[in-house]
Amino acid sequence: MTVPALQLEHVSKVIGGLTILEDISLTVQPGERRAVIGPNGAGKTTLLNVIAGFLPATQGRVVVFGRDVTKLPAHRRVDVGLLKTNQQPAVFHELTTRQNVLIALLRGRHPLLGLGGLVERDRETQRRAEQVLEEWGLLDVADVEVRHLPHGYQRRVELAARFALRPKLLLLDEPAAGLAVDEIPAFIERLKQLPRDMTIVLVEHSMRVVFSFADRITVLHHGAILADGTPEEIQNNEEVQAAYLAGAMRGRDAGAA
Amino acid sequence: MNALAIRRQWRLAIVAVLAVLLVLAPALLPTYPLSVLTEILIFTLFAMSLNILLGYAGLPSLGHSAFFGTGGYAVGLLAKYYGTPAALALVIAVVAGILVAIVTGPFVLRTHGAYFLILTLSLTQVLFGIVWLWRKVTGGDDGLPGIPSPRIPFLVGRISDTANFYYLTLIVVGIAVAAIAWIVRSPFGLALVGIRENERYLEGLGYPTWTLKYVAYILAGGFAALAGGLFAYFKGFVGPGQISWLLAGEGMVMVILGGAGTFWGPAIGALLVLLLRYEVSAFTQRWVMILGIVFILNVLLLPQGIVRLPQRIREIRARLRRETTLAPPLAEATAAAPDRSVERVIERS
Repeated sequence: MTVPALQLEHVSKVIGGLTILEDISLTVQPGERRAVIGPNGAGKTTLLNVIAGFLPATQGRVVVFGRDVTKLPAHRRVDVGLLKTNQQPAVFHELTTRQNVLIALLRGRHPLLGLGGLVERDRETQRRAEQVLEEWGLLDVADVEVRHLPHGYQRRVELAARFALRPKLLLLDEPAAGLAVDEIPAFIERLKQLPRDMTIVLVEHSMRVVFSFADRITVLHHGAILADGTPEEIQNNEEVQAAYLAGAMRGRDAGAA
Repeated sequence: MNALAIRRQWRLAIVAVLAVLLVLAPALLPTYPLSVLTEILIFTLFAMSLNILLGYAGLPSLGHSAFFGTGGYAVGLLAKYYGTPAALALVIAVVAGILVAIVTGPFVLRTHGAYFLILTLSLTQVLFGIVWLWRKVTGGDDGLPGIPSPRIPFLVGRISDTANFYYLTLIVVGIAVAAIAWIVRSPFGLALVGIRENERYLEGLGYPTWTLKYVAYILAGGFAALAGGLFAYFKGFVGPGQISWLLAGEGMVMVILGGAGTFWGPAIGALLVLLLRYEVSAFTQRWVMILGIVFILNVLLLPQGIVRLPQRIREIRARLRRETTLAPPLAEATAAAPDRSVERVIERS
């Protein structure tokens, strides 16, 4: 039996007396592409933050590759291979593209919290950064401060920095948000090309992205799981239709087409 | 890459010239300017240590004088009660500053921004209260006078005492500044900038951000205590003024004026503030007012500090050139066009 990439066991999150997540249990297999959808305020982003460790779970357990990480702070969960992207690309605006990649690559490479080295002397990491930049088509903007780059490029910088760390479980929080409509097909292609040894949990509003990418879909509604299944099952689920999907599909695709 | 290499050569040349001038200063300057220069060196170290927190990590400390004062009182007490030699006393001063940082860090680092500012301010006020009230040991508001100024033995008799202490300061500050240069150019220094930019994003990349801030706070405390110890020797005196938050505020002005988060900015800030104090005060009592005007102009015209002046001039010249070549409506049109090419966006911003 393979160890699941991610297991949530009866996870709840209460913030200020308000239940954001209620008794969430789900299992994601290694290599799976799982989408989490639901209307605004359903708790999707909170769910990702609980998994990544930015918010502690009020109740329940979070297990990543068989390891209980419920009590671990966010930065320690990176050691298990877990990384998350942000709705607003999680990049450092005053740093250059290169420095954004370097900061990811340099993590833990030098002793004494990095005091035992100089960035410019670490030729090997510099070379790796150069490779990453080339791989992601970012060489042209390598020495430009990220705040000067358009949104799509910032997203690419964010992903490049995270992939440089070779995540095993990647949480994507609305990666297509803010992309222009004509950028989305290329973006879907890019997602599809990601290696299968990487497990992906995706929160996304664009149904085009979700239905062309996900193996399984979990529907959140008012902080609880409304349905869970293959894209076909979800599409034909009447409860989901009523609660969310019909409206979302109509609204989104009308706008997107 | 080539342009970068050339700029690096220039920078090396400037640093080399500066170093030569600093070494030759006692031969070139009379006693009084030399002692002003000594003070500038000490405050350069103080401002650079604050810059680790304020400029790199984005932690606005208004309590940095707590470490400066701790270093000063460590030197003062050791000199008065034990007659400890300067080298050892300065080491103990640094250790004392580090200890104060180790103890206070967990309290102040629970907060960010304005709350961090207030907590560090209260910290320095607590220490101020202790030295003010504990008259028997600290001398209260009289402070501890008569701290003997150390000399480099090898140079005694060959140069003046002022020049001797100047060289001592130059060596100590030089080593400390080199250490700070190492820190900010290490992966640790890059991570501190990441904290300033977005602590949560950095944590998401697997960095233990709290520990990084704590270590930065401790290092900054150690360097500030070293500056404080040197200053006590320089003045031959340590008093509550050296631990007062006003001094922390002055440090903050130096850092922001020169350029927070840049390596040389704080040195330029220290130079400017002290020159204003000593040169302008020769003409008018209102040097603080002049400093205020300089500060306002600086924030309006050079919000990123004086050290960015050359870059700012280049930007303004580039903008002027663009405005004259492009007719305004055309410029408007290109800006509005849905052109997503990177070069355009960079140029526009």
